[in-house]
Amino acid sequence: MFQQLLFAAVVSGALYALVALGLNLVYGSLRLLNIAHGDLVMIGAYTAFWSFTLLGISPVVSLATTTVLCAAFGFLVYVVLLKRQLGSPALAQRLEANSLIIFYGLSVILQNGASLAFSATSRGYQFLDGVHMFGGVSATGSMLLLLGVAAAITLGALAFLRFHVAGWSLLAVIERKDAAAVVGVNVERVQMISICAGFAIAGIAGVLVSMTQQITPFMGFPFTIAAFVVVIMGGLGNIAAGIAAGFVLGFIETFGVALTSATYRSILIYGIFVGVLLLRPQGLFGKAVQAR
Amino acid sequence: MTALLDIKGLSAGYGPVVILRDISLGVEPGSITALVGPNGAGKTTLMKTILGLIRANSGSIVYDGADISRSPSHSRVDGGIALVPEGRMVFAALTVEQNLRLGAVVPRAHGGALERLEEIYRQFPRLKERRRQLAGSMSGGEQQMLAIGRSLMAKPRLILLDEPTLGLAPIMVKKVFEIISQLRADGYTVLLSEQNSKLALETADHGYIIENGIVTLSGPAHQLVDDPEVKRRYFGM
Ligand SMILES: Nc1ncnc2c1ncn2[C@@H]1O[C@H](COP(=O)(O)OP(=O)(O)O)[C@@H](O)[C@H]1O
Ligand SMILES: [Mg+2]
Repeated sequence: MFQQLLFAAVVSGALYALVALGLNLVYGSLRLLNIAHGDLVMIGAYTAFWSFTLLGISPVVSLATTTVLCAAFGFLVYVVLLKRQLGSPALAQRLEANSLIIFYGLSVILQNGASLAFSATSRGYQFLDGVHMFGGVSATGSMLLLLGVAAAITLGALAFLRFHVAGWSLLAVIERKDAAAVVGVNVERVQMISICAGFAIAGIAGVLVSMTQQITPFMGFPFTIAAFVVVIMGGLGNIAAGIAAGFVLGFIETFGVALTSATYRSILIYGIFVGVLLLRPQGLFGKAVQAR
Repeated sequence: MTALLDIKGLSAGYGPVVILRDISLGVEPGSITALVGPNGAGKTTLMKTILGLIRANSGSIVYDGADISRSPSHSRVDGGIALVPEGRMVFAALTVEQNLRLGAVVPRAHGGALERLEEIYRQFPRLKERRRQLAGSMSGGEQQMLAIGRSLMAKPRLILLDEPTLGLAPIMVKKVFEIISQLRADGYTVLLSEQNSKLALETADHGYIIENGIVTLSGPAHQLVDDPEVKRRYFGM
């Protein structure tokens, strides 16, 4: 029983870590809170669903198509909505406030567009749903795949930030954009790649979710909230701590719900959100980056 | 000799606020040029404009024969201009070594970066001792060494040093000025901004005095040092 819960906690923690990683990339490098982040998870989920049910394409392949699709979408958002405004200091100031409205609008469009196109019916499909047993834990293949992909991406991101000069460029932009420009980092390019990567990671998370849960056009919002909670817990813009915080949320949620009941799930998550904001606004582990 | 950096009629500022007005200034290759003036005169603004962190409103910035006033910062760094910014601006979240290696992020600096790293460690043994520490945990003087080392990693020709002694203990101030003279001996061209006018002009070959965003006086540094008017107004003598 305990091992089973532990496994469930790790799986949901890995998913939270992944979703939050994407949000944190965008916040960290652009200082913009993407409220539509969860809706990209939804886009990824539908891409996998339709590819599988209409074309018989494996979700494993959809991981790649979604990456391209969501990255391209991120590029479009960057070029059309953000680039010019980020380029001028006066407009950039206003963009920080306007971005909430921009991304909220994006969220509404994506949700309602999806519900018009696909209807609000919840959908699902069976993929790798055979149960494997090991050490008293039963796990479906899809859960193991989710765990494997999420772990690979989050660990890959950590290694990238630690060992690669491009990762340090990203950390530099997150810490201080102007100082990054001083050493010759192409700040605009880092921001553009971050938004593409952030969107792509959300899409990938969506593909993984679609293998294990029912999906709807409105499934994104809880992911946005969960990602916000995780990112706040880890400290805004603090990528590594955000990944750790994803697992913390997975554990608190899984064990909290097991000890109480599923009706407490939202209360738990919002409770953590408010609690962290009140008690440790700088995050549980390190410190949040400065808003600017 | 043609100047490595030749600024003509430059005006720049922050948004609608104009700070620099009609600045003209030249930096000869292999020299130290001092830019001195009181707090708020516009020294930092000028440094930022040279690197492209602030766009010039008008005028030209000719570096190595080409007007760079419209190019983005990263291509100016890639052209061989490195800034040691006021307040050092080291990356607190990165280790000392990551800070240094990030200094070589521009393409021009890729070749021979590890050799330069070793050279910088030889010159600043303190940085080598601390290379795995987070830069934010170092003292002000050590961070200044790091900021200078980081600029050298970019394989620059022109080094802009913006008030490098600000907030340092007297012994570190002396050390920083020794390093600056050494940079010239190593063949670098230096533009140095300082509030410590006397020391700066004593070290430099050429000097510019800037006040309220305009150049009020310029000439060979030794002449400025001996100028009674300069002595009275800037050295408090
Ligand atoms: N970010 C900024 N926005 C608006 N004004 C600024 C900014 N930074 C500096 N200034 C103003 O520009 C003037 C010159 O400042 P600065 O270049 O920092 O002078 P210095 O480096 O010679 O002390 C000052 O009046 C200062 O208040
Ligand atoms: Mg200054």
